[in-house]
Amino acid sequence: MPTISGGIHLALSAILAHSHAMEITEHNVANANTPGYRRQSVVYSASTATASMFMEGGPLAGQRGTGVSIDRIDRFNLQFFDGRYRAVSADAYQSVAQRDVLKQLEATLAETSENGLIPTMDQFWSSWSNLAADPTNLALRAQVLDYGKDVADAFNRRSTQIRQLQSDQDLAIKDSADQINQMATEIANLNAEISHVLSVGDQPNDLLDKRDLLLDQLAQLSGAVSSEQANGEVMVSINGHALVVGHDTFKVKTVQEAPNNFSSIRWEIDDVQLNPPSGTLKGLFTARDTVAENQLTGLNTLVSSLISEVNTVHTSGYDMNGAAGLPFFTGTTAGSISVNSALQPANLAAASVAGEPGNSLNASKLADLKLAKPAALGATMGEYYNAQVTSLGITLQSATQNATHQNLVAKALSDQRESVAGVNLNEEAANMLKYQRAFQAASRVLNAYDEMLDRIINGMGLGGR
Amino acid sequence: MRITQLMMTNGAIQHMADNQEMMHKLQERIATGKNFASASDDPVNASISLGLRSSLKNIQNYLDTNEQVADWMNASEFSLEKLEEVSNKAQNLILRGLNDSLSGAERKNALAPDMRELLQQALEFANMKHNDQFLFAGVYTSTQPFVLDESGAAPTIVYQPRNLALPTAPPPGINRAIQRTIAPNQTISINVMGESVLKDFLQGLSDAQQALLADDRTALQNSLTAVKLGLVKMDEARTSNGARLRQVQSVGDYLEKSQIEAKSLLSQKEDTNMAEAVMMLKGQETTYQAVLQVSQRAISSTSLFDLLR
Repeated sequence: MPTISGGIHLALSAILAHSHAMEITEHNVANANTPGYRRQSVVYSASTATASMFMEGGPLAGQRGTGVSIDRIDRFNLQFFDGRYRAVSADAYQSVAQRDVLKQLEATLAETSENGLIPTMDQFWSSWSNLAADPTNLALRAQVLDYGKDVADAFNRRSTQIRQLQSDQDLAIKDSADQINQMATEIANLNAEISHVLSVGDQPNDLLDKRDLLLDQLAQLSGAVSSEQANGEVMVSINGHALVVGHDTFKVKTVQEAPNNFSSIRWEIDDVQLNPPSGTLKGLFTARDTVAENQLTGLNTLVSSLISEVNTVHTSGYDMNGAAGLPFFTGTTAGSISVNSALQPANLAAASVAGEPGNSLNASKLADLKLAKPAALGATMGEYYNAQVTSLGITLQSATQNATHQNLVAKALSDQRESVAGVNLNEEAANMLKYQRAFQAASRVLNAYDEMLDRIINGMGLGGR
Repeated sequence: MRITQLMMTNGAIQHMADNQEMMHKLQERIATGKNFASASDDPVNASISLGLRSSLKNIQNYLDTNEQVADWMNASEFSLEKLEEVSNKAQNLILRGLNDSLSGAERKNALAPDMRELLQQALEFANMKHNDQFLFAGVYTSTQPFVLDESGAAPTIVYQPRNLALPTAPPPGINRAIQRTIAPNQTISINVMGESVLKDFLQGLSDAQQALLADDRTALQNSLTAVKLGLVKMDEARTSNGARLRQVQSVGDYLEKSQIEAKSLLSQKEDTNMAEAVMMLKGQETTYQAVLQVSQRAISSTSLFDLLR
């Protein structure tokens, strides 16, 4: 039997449901710019109907509606996009990290400027050639020593700077390991909360947003992948090794490794080395261990050829006093090369025969080393270093292009995800209007009931007075 | 596709940033006048330009050497020319001395001092220095080559240069040549062999003076032969010196030509084509303005919220 109070409840359910929907709209608008936020929407359903009986009508007259109730609050999300987006953006982050480090490396080497290593070496060879034209000139001799020092300094500086760059990346890698642990802990905590909320039948929408954002960041950092389980928890792994399982985390640690004391990342539980498949970390590892290291190795190869070639020729000549030449360079690597401190300008071995001041054949020979092709290099020293610089340039160029392209792909996927899950203010405005109007209508109905009650209580005859 | 506010804003920012980056690159190209600032901008051309720079430096070295070598050889030529003049004067003097009409006293008092004077001049030119190095001392450029030793009965010309490292050893039989590299794998001797070309001539002058003093016409006749032979040798030396100088000059010409070629190639590889770059910047500017306009509208366009009462 319809009751007035039943009608009031019906109107009330509509008022409550729509004011709740207004809140959801407000929540969406408020989070229009929150990273990782997925828009939510209210799913209404008519509440359980009751059978009509008694005076309303005979049996089978139909059921009587009891108003509206909120079924659930939906969260717009496409899991397929998440996985794809994470994989692509991990690749993009790897290229970006690599590009940034390589850019620094290239700037450090500054080969295309006047301070490049090739111009510096050329100057050294030139000074020998100048000396060859005027072998008794002490000023020219002093110049050879100065330019020799410039060459040694140039190698020293590059070696130091590459090492510095490597240790900067090393620090970043150590930080990343801490970040991985921290994010793993947060994800495990969120797992616990989410499965708890789900188990009582609720939708933990905002917790899911938070966890998805963390998973995005973790993928971008380390190329981690995740899979959701039936209870709503995610399992996270990096390169096949579990990081988060349910409420548990498997942490990583950093270990200093020989020979350079750079850090590697290892799993605490089994001491196996973590090789990130993609992400910023992979970029950092590649830049530190492959590209920078190759440049340094190349420099060292070049330096050892330079030292042995120059010293061989220099010791075969004779100085201004007729004494045999001393080794010109000392040291063995780019870091340790220096001009023999015992050398004075008069000690430069320009002559090929002892006691011939006008003889400069040995200086010519030293100048000609510029065009010599040491067996260890297979090219002249200039060409060898030129090839090194060019290969770094090509690596950087392709890293830059990869970064651009992968960012475009990641952006396209992110746009697609955003297209589904993002907040559109026009839509929210329209929804707001929709809910507002429904709320107003329900209030109007409530008003009508009020008047009906008024009629019943105050206006129905005067018999009882 | 459903478009959200975030997509609009991010897109606008992205497009503005992309355009700015392109403008920045063009600005850099125009401001520096170079097509690339670092190897990664254009690895292939950067590699070529590094190589070209290096060979340009090389060419410059050879050109510098070339200049110095030419200077040295011109100085030798000048000295030899002067020595030939002395030789001609000396021959005239000797011929006059051989004249029967002259008395012994005249030879001794008039001609011998003149000859002495000529000998001094000849010694001066034979000991000429270029850039503080003796021209005719072979590789022993710090030693004065010719000295008149008057300690004995007959004055002799001593050729002094010897290996400094072996002071007691006798000087080598021949003058050692000074070698200079004027082009890749091209080495030439730049000096005139002082001992073989000049020593006998100088000795001849000295002998002539002694003969004039002693009024010894046979000896005077002999000295004439020596002086004449000296002239022939000097002529030969000048010819050879001139031939080598021409070689140096032609190498220099070749080097200069390749320098110009390498420079223009380098400029082609790395210098900005200004007209092109400025036009591109102009075009980019127009695009950028348009992007700014569009972005401004996209970001600030009214949403439904603004229009609701």
